[in-house]
Amino acid sequence: MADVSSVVVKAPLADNAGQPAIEPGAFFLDGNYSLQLNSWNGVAGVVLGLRFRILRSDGQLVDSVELHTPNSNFTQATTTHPLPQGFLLNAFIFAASGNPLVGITFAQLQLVRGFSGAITPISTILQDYVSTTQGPSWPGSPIRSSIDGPGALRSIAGTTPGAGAEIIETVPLNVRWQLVSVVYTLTNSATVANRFSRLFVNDGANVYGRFEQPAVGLAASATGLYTAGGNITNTTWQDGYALALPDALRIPGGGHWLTSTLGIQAGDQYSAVRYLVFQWIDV
Amino acid sequence: MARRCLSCGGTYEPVQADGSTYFHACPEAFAYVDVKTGRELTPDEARAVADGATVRREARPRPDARDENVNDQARGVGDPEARLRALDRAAPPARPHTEADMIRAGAGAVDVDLEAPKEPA
Repeated sequence: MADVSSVVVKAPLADNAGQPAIEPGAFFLDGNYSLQLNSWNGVAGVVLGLRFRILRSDGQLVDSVELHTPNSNFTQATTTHPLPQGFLLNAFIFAASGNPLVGITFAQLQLVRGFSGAITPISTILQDYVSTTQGPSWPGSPIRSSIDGPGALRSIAGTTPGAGAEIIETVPLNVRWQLVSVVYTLTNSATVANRFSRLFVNDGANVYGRFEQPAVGLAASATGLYTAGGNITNTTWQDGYALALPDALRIPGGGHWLTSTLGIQAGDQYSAVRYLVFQWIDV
Repeated sequence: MARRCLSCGGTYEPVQADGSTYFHACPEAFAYVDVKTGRELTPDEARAVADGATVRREARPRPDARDENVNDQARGVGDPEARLRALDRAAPPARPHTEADMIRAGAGAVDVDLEAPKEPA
């Protein structure tokens, strides 16, 4: 183990009054157990730290720090850290470097039997989001589901598609979005036809939401600013359109929101795609 | 640094302002067909059409479509040993998201230097 320091404890299991010196919930370890840290993360450059204390059977109190580098594409990264004989007193997950974010960096710490090959999970000790200032700690922190809470508010710059192409934005694997608002611009070519920009949502294969602009189309050579969101009605503005979305419109991992434009021409150009979502890791 | 997809021409920021990663996927491709003759128009011809009623848009599969989202192999789907390997201390703890992990790399993507996108007025 890295960065180990130790102190000798004279009476490791009982204080001077003969009372237990360790918490009743401390795990006894016989040398065949490990801590397994799982993470799901979408921020590049993040390294998590795992700090824990063990009261070894020889009476030494051992502080340890292990490092764990999550993947940045929301797939699971796992490290296991063998433990000596003794009592696991506490554990703490923190940001060792980078800028992990609530809603984007999720960690789970389990006590497992074994340390390679076939491993048997014994208990989940910690499970929560980690940020630069928030780190779950055992004992004390609740074990949270990744889809608990209001989610992380994220403002995302989408792809500006090529001329004549539609917008399509994909919810990453192991992620869930709630679409709050969307803005984009459509600049029409001189080809004479009215364009009707519609916003669809699908689960990756099947469309389950279709939201359309008012019956007045965007004419040739015109530029339209589009805003889609909840608590608005379909409206034609002086310079664009409002598209009504239902509140709490959620899209699963692998799903999309996209445009499907009636009357679009080869020279039309979508641009300035930005949207606001609530995001959860969904594992 | 923004990137331009060589499959669809779309431009995007692979790392967002908050440091999170962004995965581009190409939209569906389209062909433009002259309604009267049935002839497929070249992109330049399609862009020069004066009356949109004379052309019909038809969806076409994009043969070199790029989708940077995680593929089944990277997810471990259909690989019963993947979970055990993930649990093995000897397994690499982390790796960057490369084209090998993508659903389709398509024609690739290149770095481009773009002006900051204009926000709607």
